Order: sequence, then C-alpha cells, then structure tokens
Amino acid sequence: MSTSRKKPAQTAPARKPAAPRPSPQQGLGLEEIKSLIALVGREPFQEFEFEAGDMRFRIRKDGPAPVVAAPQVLLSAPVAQPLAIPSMPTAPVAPAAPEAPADEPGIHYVTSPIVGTFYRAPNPTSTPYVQPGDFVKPGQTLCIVEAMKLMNEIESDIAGEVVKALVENGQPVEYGERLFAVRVS
Amino acid sequence: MSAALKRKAPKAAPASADAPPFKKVLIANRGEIALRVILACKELGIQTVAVYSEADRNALHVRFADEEVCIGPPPSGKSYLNIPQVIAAAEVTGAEAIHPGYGFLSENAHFVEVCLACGINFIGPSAEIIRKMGNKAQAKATMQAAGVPLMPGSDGVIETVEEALAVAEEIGYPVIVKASAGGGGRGMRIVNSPEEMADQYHTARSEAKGAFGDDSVYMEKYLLEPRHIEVQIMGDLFGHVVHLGERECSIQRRHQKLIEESPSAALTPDLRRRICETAVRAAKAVGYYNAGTIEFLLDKRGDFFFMEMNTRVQVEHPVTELVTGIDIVKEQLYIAAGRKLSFTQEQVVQKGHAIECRINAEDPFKFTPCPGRITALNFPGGPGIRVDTAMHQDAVIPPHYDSMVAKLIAYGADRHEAIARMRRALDTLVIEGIKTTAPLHRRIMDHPDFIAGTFSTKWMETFLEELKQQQAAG
Repeated sequence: MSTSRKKPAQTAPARKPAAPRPSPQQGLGLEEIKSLIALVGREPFQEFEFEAGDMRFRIRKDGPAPVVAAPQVLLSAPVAQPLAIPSMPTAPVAPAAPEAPADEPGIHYVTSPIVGTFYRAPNPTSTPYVQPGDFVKPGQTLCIVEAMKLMNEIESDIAGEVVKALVENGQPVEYGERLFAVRVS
Repeated sequence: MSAALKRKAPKAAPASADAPPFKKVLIANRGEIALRVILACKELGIQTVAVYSEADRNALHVRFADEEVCIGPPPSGKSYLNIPQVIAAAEVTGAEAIHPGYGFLSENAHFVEVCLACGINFIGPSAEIIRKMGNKAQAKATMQAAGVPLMPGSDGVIETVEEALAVAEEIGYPVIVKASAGGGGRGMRIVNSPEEMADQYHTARSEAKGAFGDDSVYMEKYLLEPRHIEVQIMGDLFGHVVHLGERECSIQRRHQKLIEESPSAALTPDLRRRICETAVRAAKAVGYYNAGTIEFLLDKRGDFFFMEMNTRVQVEHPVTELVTGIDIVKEQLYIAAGRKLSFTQEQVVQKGHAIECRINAEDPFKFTPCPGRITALNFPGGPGIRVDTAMHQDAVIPPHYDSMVAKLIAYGADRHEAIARMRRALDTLVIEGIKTTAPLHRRIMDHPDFIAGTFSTKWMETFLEELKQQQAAG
C-alpha cells in the first residue's frame, strides 16, 4: 500500500473505484452524500473520513468496534508517510481505504507466512483449493505460495466460511500479507 | 498489502559503456548501509528492492527504494537473516543481484552459494573466499603461506588447558584466547599469568559456543599499546587487486570501533607503503575480488601483524571514500557485474584527512542501549561534512538491531581542519528523544591525546577512567 506514496508513475489508476470523489472545487451535493453513506453502510468500513478542499466529513458506524487486526490498520497510516508535513492534507486517506479495509467483526484474515508467488490451485489446470462460500477447517489447504521453487501449502488457521480471496492468482505476496478473508463460524 | 509488491517493468538499459551494471538490485540489509547502497544504485540508474522486517515498516531504506518486500517479523533471525525469505523476495521482484551490506548475511558463505544456485549475483567475493577468510584459524594459515606477518600464537585450535599453558609459555604473557569463528569482541579473553589460564580459557570457549555455535579457540600474544590499522582493498574478476590506503581505528571500546580516520597519524610514508603492499599481497593470496579489508595490529616499534580480513564493505568505508575520491559501493556494483576496476593503483591518491564518529543510541558514558523515538533532529552540514544515516524525525529505533543511528564524517585539508570541522558538526548535531554517544565524541575531539594522534586500542579504557574520576571529583 505504501507504493502509492513513492511511485506515483506506476500506481495503477484506482485499483478499485473508491468512494465517489467530486472535484475539490465543487464540494458534495446532497445526493452524493447520501450515496456515500449508503456505500459506507454496505462496505466493511467502520469509519470513513473524507476531505476535499474546505470540506471534510466523517461517517462512523455504530455497533461493536472491530476486533481483529485493528492495530495494523492504525499503524499503516504513519507508515505511509513517516516524513509527512503536518499541514499536508489528508486526502490520500480515501484512495488508500480500499486497500486496507477496516476489519469487519467476525472476519479473520489468513496471512502469508512467507514471501513468494501466490497460487490458488495445485496446478494451472486444476480448480482452486477454495472458493468464496466454501467452509474451511483449521489445517485445510487454502492455497500455495511458491518460494525458491518450492510449493508451500498454506493452511487455514481457523474454521469458517471463505468470504474472499484477497490476492490474484500468480501475484507475488510478502510476509504478513492478507490472503483470504474468512468469516469465523 | 499486495500493492507493496507492485513493480514497473524494468527500463531497457541504454546500450553504452555507461550502462548500469545491473537493472535491479535487492539490498539485504537495513539502516544507513541499506540507504547507502540505494543511493549508489540511484546514481547508476539501477532499480532497487528493499526488504524489511515488520519493525522497519517506516524505515527510510523502505521509503527510498523503488520496491519493497516485507520478509518477516522483527527478530533478525526471522527476517534479515532468513535466507529463503530474502531469496524469494529477489525472485518475486526479479532482482538480478543482492547487495548484503555489512553484518547480517554479508559474510555467510552458504548464502552466497544459495544466491549462485538461484541465478542471483552476490555483490561480494565468492563463497570459497568468505569461508577461507571467515574461519580465523584457516585465514591465518593462508596468510602465513603468503608471507604475511602473523601475531605469535598457536598454530591453530587449542584443545586443552595444558596445551594453552604450553603455547602461552612459548610466546610469553600476556596472551589472548580468541574464538576461531569469532569477531566483535565475543569469545575473547586476556590471560596475564598461568594462574588465570584455566578460568579464562573455559570462559572463552563457552562464550564462543554461545555466540557462534562453535567453541574452538586459538591463542595469540597480547600486544601492549597496539594500534588498529586496516587497509581497504578492491579487486576485480581479472586478478587486479589495489589498496585504497589505510584507516586508523584504534579508538574502540570492547573491540567495537567508535572513531575511524584516514590517513593514520601513526604511519610514516615508508611504513604506510609496507603495510598497504602487504595487504595487497594477502588479498592476492586468496584470489580476492570485490571490496575487502585487511586488519592489522601495529605495535609501538612499527611491527605489524595480520589480524583478520573482512570480506565485505566496512562501516567506516566513507573515510576512505573522502580521502581517495573513490565511491567504494559503486565500484562494488561494477566489479560484481564483471567490469574491470575503474582505476589503477597509481591513480589512488590519499588527499586531505577524514574522521568518522559513530553516533550510537546509547548512554554516552554508561553505553547502555537507548532505543526509542527521535523527537527532534538536525544533522550538521556545511563544508566537509557527510552524514550517513537512515534516521528521520519521529523515527523509532527498534530494540532488535544494532544501536548505530548515524555516522558523522568530517573531511579537511589536514587532520587539524578535519578535527575542527568534526567539533562544530557535533556542536550542531541535534538528536532529541534518545540518548546518543555524541557528547562522548565531542569530549574526545578536545582531548590532547586525540589531537596529538597518540592513542592505542587501550586508550578508551583510560579515557573513560579519567571521566569517571572527573565526575567523582566534580
């Protein structure tokens, strides 16, 4: 995620469309604010902060605070800009949000214990180990991370329903990177 | 976090003689040396990959590299020393070469072999050379064969206390018992008389076992008032070996260097020529290539003895860079890519004087480590000052790694000017939030012995004793 700060040239134009972003001069209309609120309600954010020009607002959901890995999310902000000048606008918060979704209660993230290349299936012709909607048990193989020509089977460390695969097949992953979201059962 | 691994397609290298030696280099290190290598790569148009542990997410080497890969949790055994993780990071990013910096994997022969097996260029000498020079007893045998003067001592590993007593009798007390696999002062014990031998010998062995997993020890004569003089070597794959002059590193505490300078105030031109030529002969004897350092002990009478060879870039390499005008790290990259040395021995000229102070995050007088957050920071500048550091405002110094936060390097037309510049650099250095050794360096810069250039490796002990007495009196 820190890529965006230092490699503007290579940052793909918005990997996932973020919240609607009106041009700073315009501010937001009522309709846009409504749709933003609806969006935040749907998405697994706990809190959403938006700033453009003079305008700034925050949407916060009621309910239980996120339990899992919240500190990690908090950490990532200072990480992204260790030398940031305090007066710098916080606008980049919005585009960063889709990459580090605030944690939804009951969701567990299976992370990669090693650096390597992520594969969802044992070989290119077979079907993925798991699909969203599948129920998995602790110890069940979820994917492979290849490193130094070795295929390392990554097992689930929890029982639950696979909600989402967070990495594309064949992409590199680093230590601690989130691979799957699992709804704890 | 997959975005952390996104990378752009490598730019096609221009087909000229100045083409970068590599397209992409991974730096298997952290802190100031990782940054130093990144800066050299930037100047040469090489893409860089930083690896980091979870404790270093904010680090400048991560920020300034083109790509970064998290390779593990904070303990270095699980991250910076974790060979499969480092190699996998090079593979997924397509790095052609790995620069190991100093410490961590830099003198690990097995790592060099793994790099080779995976088709990755290791920026340093071969596994064979590292192995040969890394084992102190074997290094001595090699040097003896090449006619390099050795310290009087045992001909190899000492197996029993009886043998230790016999060897000590032959070379004369005091003697020092050292770990064969050692370095950095661990597994070393000074023995002043036969009565002390049994205790010190066993302590050295168990320390060696604990620190290096190998309890073999050897013995040497212990010199009085010796100076630590080392010679920077560079060699290429075509058999050229040159020296870049000497460094004086006698200001040390418990075998950890605090201040280094070049040239040494203790060498006459004739002695300098002999010691540097001996170093070249030693390096040629092992077919050395890339950057390396041969360390000698110089005694009061001008006799010098081979101590060890470091098969990597040294912490104190900047003082040599300043007096010779040669960029050692860039040269390392060119050599690893198979280019010839860009200069001959005749072209290496020591000009002016450079001094380096290692600023550590430690109590300046008690030397207890002081990790924490830097709340205010100003680095000195102005003519003749170089600062090699990876610190920044609000940086957190993690407790997992070594305590060096910056290297302050002063250059002047002569030693007098270099000292004057170092003084005012230390006066304008601000590091708040943690304790550093800067105040200690400032006192050393004013000490008559330091100004006169008359000090041995024992000098710090005396100086610290002096300070204690002053504090007690004042």
